[in-house]
Amino acid sequence: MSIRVEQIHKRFGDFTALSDINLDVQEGQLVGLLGPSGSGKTTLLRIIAGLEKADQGRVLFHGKDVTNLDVRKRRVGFVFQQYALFRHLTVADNVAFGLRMLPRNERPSRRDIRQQVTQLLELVQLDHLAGRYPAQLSGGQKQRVALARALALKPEVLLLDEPFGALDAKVRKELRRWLRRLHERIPVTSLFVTHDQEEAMEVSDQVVVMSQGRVEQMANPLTVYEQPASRFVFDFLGHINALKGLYDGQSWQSGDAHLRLTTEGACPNGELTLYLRPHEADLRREPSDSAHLPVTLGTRSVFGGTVTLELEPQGWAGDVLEVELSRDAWEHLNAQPGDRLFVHPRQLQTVTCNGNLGPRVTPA
Amino acid sequence: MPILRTQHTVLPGFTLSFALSVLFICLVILVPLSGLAIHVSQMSWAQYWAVITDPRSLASFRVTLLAAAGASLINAVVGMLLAWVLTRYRFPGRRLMDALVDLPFALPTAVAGLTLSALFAGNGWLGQWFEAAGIQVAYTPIGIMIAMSFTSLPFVVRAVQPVLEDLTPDVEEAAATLGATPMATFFTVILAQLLPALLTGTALAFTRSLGEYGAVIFIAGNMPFETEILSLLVNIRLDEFDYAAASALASVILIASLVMLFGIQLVQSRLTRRWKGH
Repeated sequence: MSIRVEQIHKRFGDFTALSDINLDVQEGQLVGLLGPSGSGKTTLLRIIAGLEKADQGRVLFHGKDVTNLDVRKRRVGFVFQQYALFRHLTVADNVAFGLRMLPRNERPSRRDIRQQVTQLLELVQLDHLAGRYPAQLSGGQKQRVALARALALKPEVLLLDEPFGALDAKVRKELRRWLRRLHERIPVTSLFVTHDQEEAMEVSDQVVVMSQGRVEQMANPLTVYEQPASRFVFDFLGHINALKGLYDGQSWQSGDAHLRLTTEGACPNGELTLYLRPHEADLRREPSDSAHLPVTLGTRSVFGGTVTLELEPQGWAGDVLEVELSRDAWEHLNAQPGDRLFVHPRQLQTVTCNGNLGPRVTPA
Repeated sequence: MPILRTQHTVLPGFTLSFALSVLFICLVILVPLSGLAIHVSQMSWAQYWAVITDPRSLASFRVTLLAAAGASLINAVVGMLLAWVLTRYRFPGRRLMDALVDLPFALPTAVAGLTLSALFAGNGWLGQWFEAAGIQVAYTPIGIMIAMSFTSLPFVVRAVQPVLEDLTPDVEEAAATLGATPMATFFTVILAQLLPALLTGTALAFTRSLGEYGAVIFIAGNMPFETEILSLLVNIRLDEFDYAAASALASVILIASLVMLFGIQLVQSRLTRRWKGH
């Protein structure tokens, strides 16, 4: 079932939670709503579910207007951040709840309910815990029960509000992979809210980046990362280093630091800000003709295959830079804290005078 | 679960705090109770049986039990409603209302009894309307019931309130997304989770009503066989210096209350033990 959201506006008192939201979700897709807290992503999800009413605009499921349809009749599965399990019911009874609430003429027989519950619990790999109470489960298990419960009525749309938000990092990672695989088996159109960039990138078919009640960009994860539609999107997806300086038509300069590059994005007064992603630079002991960014090596943190370095600008003003090297490159460099090094950007993102994203440039 | 918990706590030593608790319970609760037991034990079984099966005693048991049961049922409903309003809504005067709930605890019960009997007398503010509808409240079992529910209302409210505060709205929303009607949500989700606390509160209200004296005697009319409550009968026997009979009657209230309290404790712990993950 496809979801279409048209010109949704929502205010809470003086606060504009959502303004002019338009969204098209194709049938069977898994879409991540990504944004910082307060960006309106949860409100949007709740409006699609029918738990909240929009001030303006329409919500359509498969072309049918459901804007005024009660949440009970929308046939959405909703998974809450804090699980919202019924603590007085066993795992099996939690999952069976929706089936038992069906009107008598649609309600399956006791045997059928038991059978469906068993199937759902097998699906979330919790059939061995059917008789337990929620308080006896771990966070990850609770969220899987909540998911099974939401799937029991075979919803046309599955909505998940920060489903892994309350879990620790390792369980989160396992669960989101598992959700991805589950979605491949049961391709119900799904939207999930997250503020975790990695999560959105890893799980979603499409990512919707939101900020201050607006949609900044909707595209597949690769496009969002490679071709961010706005400065916000670029900023939000991973760490960036901002290099502020002056551009004279041939080179960018800030104190002792300079880069030779060609761009047209600078302000009339010559100010030019460059964004550098941590993994788009090399470190060497010598400068080159095109790049001269002297830094002092600060702390390093080794995690997995990459080494993250903090670099203090030397002879030019700026924040501490963060650069990621592969482990091989780091060992090859053989540097100690305090060493003087030079950053060699492979690619930089220019920021135009009005704050938009300009072209990408490479020092040459 | 270990019997003794020896985690570090702010109170000094387990031995000391435990000993003080036991001492206090003995002095204030167990010693008077044994006094009662001694009085009763001076009677023969036949004497005891004669006192408690005396028609006047039986009538007072009946009045007391029925009125207390009625009062607890009213309080179960009204108390839950009050707790619901106090936890779910924010309105001007909410704190005042919250404080007023405890008033029956603070007010001397005799004052409450006098006020209630003035209110519900045939020519009282409220009594006249009931009178017009053909219902006599004061000096009837209905009056007893009203006095009892006045003094025991806080038990239900204060037992239910914290549990209601714990119930997050997302659980109700979850029920709604699963197609439950508001009515079904109330019974299967909210009431089901409140039940242990509601039972406890109602049982406490009931046992309190069984023993209530001050608030009731002014409005009851105190007609033997009709509106004479058990505590009053105990008092009458005391006035007659018949300590044995008074103790025998009191022991009935006591046993009823103890059975009730232990029973509720049992039901409640069975209901909640598994939810809480022990």
